[in-house]
Amino acid sequence: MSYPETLTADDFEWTPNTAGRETAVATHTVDDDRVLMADLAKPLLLALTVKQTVTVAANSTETKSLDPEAPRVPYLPDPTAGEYNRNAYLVGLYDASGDGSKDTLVTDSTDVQFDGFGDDDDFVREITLSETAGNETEVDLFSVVRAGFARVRRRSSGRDSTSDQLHREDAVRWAFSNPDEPEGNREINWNNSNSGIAGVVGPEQHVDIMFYDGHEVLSVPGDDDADPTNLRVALPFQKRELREAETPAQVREQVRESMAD
Amino acid sequence: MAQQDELSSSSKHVAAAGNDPNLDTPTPIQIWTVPEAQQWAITDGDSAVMEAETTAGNAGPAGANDDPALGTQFGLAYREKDAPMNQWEVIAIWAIDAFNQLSIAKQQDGRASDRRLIEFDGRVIDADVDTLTFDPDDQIALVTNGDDEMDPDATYFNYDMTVYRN
Repeated sequence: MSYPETLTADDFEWTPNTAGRETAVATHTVDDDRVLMADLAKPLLLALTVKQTVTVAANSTETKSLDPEAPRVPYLPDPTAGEYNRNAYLVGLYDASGDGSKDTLVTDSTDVQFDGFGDDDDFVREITLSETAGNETEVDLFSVVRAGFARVRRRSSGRDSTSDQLHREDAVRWAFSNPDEPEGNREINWNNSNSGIAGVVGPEQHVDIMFYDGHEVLSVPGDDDADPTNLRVALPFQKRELREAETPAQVREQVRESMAD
Repeated sequence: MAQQDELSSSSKHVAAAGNDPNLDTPTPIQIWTVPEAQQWAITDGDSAVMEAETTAGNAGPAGANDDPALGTQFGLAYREKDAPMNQWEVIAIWAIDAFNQLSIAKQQDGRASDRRLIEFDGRVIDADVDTLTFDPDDQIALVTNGDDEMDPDATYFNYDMTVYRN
């Protein structure tokens, strides 16, 4: 019996990337008694995030040109439409309580508040923030990354470690995919070459998310700062337990033999 | 082994180039160089995603913004490894309007893709050839011929290709 299993951001261990080098930013290790298989019928979501910081002086208004601009991701809440939310494609966080952690969400009624957006169909290009409580405040802005490439690969580990690619896409295409609008042909599905054994990840093999860009550095969970709350990962798999006649080593061997040579 | 990939302005093998609006010939905006031990194949008739921006605001037919003039032509060109530096063979030509009148988000939509198909120019590429394969150190360029200087860093381009790793 197999059942659906979707790998989300919590299932991965995260490492920041280095600009100019392709880095494994996230790794998931399959349990030693389970087998995963890419579920070709369901859409993939992958919205990686970058952080920028803006300082707003006491009782004043600050307009910040976003660099990089924030793509208006269709399947996430839209702050320009008043949907202030930790899952929105653009999230502002600041330290309201003075305890040193930026954990208060910026809305249109907080001490530091959104005052306006400069945007077009694709991107939010600038934001205006105002401060009303009389304290200079630093705000962290998390937006979905629009630059670079992200790809999903599987990897075996150990002495004969090999890896191959399951799916690869430009970051803008990841951002503007839309699983809510299937007739618009805007959902991203697993590459069809992942059918059969090519889409199987064996026990203790890894699913990696690789990211490359020439200058952007991602904000990932677990680095020193506040975690990006709008990071969104959903990789659909079918999962089953090992059958009695199978050993993990056998399954790994089968998968490895089918991998890139 | 063949892998699906994209000829993209985000690629690590792309370099920015400034087009020269004073010349009558197409000049490159962005140049891709095929890396060692890879071959890149591009196919006739896929749909491209593109947004072009000029370095300065302009008052062309498209208005006082960063959109290039509507008469601007774009193309894909290639240069083989040992050819003279300016010898670009243009293999496909298209106009800007199908792209800049749609947002990048809308361009991802399959329903609006038919006007953005890249088709090889029959005067350069035989009609029965539908795939071009490039060898290491060959270059592919996004070229333009128009009145404006394009901003290579703000110009976004994306086209499907197949990569063969040797």
